[in-house]
Amino acid sequence: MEFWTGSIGLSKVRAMPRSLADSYDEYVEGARLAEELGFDGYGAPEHHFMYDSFMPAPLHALAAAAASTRNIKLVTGAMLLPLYDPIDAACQAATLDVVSSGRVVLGLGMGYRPMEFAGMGVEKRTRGERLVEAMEIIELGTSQERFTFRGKHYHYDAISISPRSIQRPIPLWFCGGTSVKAARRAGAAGLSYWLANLPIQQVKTIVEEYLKAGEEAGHPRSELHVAAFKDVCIGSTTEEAQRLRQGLIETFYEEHILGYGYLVDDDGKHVYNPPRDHPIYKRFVDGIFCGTADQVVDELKAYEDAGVEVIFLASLQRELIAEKIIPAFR
Amino acid sequence: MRLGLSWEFDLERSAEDQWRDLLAEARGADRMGFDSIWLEDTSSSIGSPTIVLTYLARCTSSIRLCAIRKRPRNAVVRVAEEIAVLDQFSRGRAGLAFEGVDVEFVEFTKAALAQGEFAFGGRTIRFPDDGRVIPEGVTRPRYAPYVPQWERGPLIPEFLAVTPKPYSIRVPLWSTDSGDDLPPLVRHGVRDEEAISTVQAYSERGDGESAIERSVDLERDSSDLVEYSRYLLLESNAQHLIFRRRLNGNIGELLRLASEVQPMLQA
Repeated sequence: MEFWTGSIGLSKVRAMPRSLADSYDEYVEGARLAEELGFDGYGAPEHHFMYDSFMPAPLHALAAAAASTRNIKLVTGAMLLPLYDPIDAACQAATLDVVSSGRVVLGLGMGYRPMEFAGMGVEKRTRGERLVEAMEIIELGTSQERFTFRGKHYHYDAISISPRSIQRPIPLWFCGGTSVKAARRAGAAGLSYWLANLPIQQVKTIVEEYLKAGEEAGHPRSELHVAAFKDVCIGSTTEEAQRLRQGLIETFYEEHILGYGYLVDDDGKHVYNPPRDHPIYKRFVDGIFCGTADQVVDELKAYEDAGVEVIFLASLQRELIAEKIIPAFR
Repeated sequence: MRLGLSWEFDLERSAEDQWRDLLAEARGADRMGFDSIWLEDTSSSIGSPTIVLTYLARCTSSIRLCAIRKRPRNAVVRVAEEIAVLDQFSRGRAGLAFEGVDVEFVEFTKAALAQGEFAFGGRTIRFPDDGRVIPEGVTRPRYAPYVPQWERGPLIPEFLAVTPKPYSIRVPLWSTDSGDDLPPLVRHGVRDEEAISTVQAYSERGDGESAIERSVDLERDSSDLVEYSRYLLLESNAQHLIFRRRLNGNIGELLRLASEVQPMLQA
């Protein structure tokens, strides 16, 4: 199993006030340390117009990280592809691939925050179609010298992406949150699928549905891949880990998860500021695993058994993970 | 007087080879005391200028990192965001030159870099764009009690702030369009006489730092280059001269510029 890590926001976190330039320096230092500790990938997220100056340009953050590292993969997680011009996105990704000697991995999501679509001038209801079309455009643009694309939202005639990426194509992941519908859509399209924080039972269901949809559509099992965002809190006891989780929730997730429509109910409706005992919010909290190092290893083994090949741990306990968790999978 | 570098890229060579040379030259230029490097977003270059400059921000210490940007096909907000991110990663060394005439794009980007919450109504740019009528130009909200962003739910606010803000209070801006109120960046293709008159005309109405980019052959004798540069600078009153050279990774050529030409221009 591969282990990826990264920063949550490259932002001015409310609970840890500091300058943005310092937070950017820490981000780059975090990349260097993650490589030294043996992580396989380092990530950067994307959001716009945020009060906390959240990173809007993940490929740029990764360009800074690239200058301080040699081997670690540089992963967007998630880059909100419908908010880009697909050709500009492909060109930027190819540029990063060149300057990093072929280390780019694109985790691509469709976005969900209404103000981001208004600010970028993109109709939110088109996001799913735009994501799938733009993924195909990037795949074509980074694997073929010249290509033509005719979609519902994008049309290109015999164009090429400059510069030529080193990886042909650049690896793409469809970041599909927690919904079975998105997993089936990714499987049917033969796209690698990256799911969000969930308890293990739901992970098993989603992976099964993804693989089933992929195989039904004629994609061989060897071409279907699953990654997962997974928050873990490691303590010397479960209680200590739960206290760490409470801190993480209070300082970051309360506003980011509750306030902007990240949580989605089983009908696909966004849930804004639900009460703390709302089942969808409780499911999210339960998805953040708390335990001792041994318990975390067992949990991640269950992920591995379910078919998850990559785990993205956006944790600040990186030394602990490198020392106690990763060796159990090597 | 400041001295900068820009490059002619060779489409026949692989992007990896050109990147190796560019990295060597940019680091060398930083060490040797050049003031700026300039990258443009055309298909004849190495790719996205701000991606390359953000990488270079982390392996240079003093040199200014300037992107020459055309208006993108869409998502125009990104130009301001990317420059602000570059400025933060480089602790205040970003620069931005607008290529081509597009008053709305320039006005919008200036507001995005400098303003807090704002709205922008234009013929081709509407921000935020959710179908509402927006007054022309930049508008800012009137005072109202603050509701934290995360408590607003799905409501799209009338005004948005583009974040992050740059590290500098003002990122230096230039325009290749001589009619703009920004200081001019005269590109390499423009004849000397026209370059001089453009900068002269600007210096009568503005006090920003004008820049002239000239293609130079560094095989030339240093004293020739000194005389040519002094002529341009003194006749035009430009304060920033950019030597555009064919990218080849030859640090010796840069060293000759830095040690033989640079001091003669500053004396």
